[in-house]
Amino acid sequence: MPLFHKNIKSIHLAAIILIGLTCLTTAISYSPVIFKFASPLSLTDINPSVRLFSIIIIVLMTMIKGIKIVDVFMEMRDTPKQWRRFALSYPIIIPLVLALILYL
Amino acid sequence: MQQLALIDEPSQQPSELSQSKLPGDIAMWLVIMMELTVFALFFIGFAVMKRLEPDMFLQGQHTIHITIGLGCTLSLLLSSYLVALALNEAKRGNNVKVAKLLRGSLCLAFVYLIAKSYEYTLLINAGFDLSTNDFFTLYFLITAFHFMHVILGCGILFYLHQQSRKQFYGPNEHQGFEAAAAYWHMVDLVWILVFFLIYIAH
Repeated sequence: MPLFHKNIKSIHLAAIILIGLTCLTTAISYSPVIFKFASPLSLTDINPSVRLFSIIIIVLMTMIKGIKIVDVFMEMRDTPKQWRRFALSYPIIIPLVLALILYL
Repeated sequence: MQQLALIDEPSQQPSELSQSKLPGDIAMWLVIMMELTVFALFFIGFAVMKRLEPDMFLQGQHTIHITIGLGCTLSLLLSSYLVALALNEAKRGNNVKVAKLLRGSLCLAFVYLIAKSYEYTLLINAGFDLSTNDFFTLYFLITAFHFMHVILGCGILFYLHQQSRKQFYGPNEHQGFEAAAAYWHMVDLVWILVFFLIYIAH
């Protein structure tokens, strides 16, 4: 019974984190457009360090979302280590590779 | 040795015993791995094309609807959340609650399907289709491929719902549910990356 309650609590927490991070990534991604509403396609004049910071934050948040889905929703937290590592590699490696292709 | 000792212990709950193994069955995980690989190739293709034609992709990303994308993401996340709760209830044999949670999950999946269909309608009415440019070719291919997975997932959730109405699930009978839940969470995981790549990374 304690295991059940622990699982339920971690599922609730994961859902809150996932929804919060989704809203936050959308807000960060589109805030430059809001500030430069008159010309939303000219984003290149944003301070490069701010842009880089935003990209890193968004990629990290996407990774955290993926990790939460794999670990909590898919219940991989308590599976054999090799399976867990294998499942976790996807939400970590893919956003990283995509970010490197897009922004390097 | 420790596992054998656990099995010999009669008071140990089955759900606690199963914690050290892979949820669901190995066949479903092989399917999930294949699906994830196919989507990963799509994603890398999209990113490479975006790198080659940044202006076209930026214009395309401003044409699609972020609010619909956000709505789709939230509905899939909440649907996945309800399936995770349903699985925990299934392990306890609380089939009435499982059926209720699965109904909620199915409703949210339908919200996703309706929202995505609405976005397709808006884009097609505005004159965008597969042949418009590389962005829209990849956009329609990736999202439509994912859309088909959601439809299949809805069928699986409906089957789970029907089984729970027959009081099928219990502490010793939930492996099929675990496999189906893993598939549904895979669909959710893929959408997280679709949302990042197509809607967010601009």
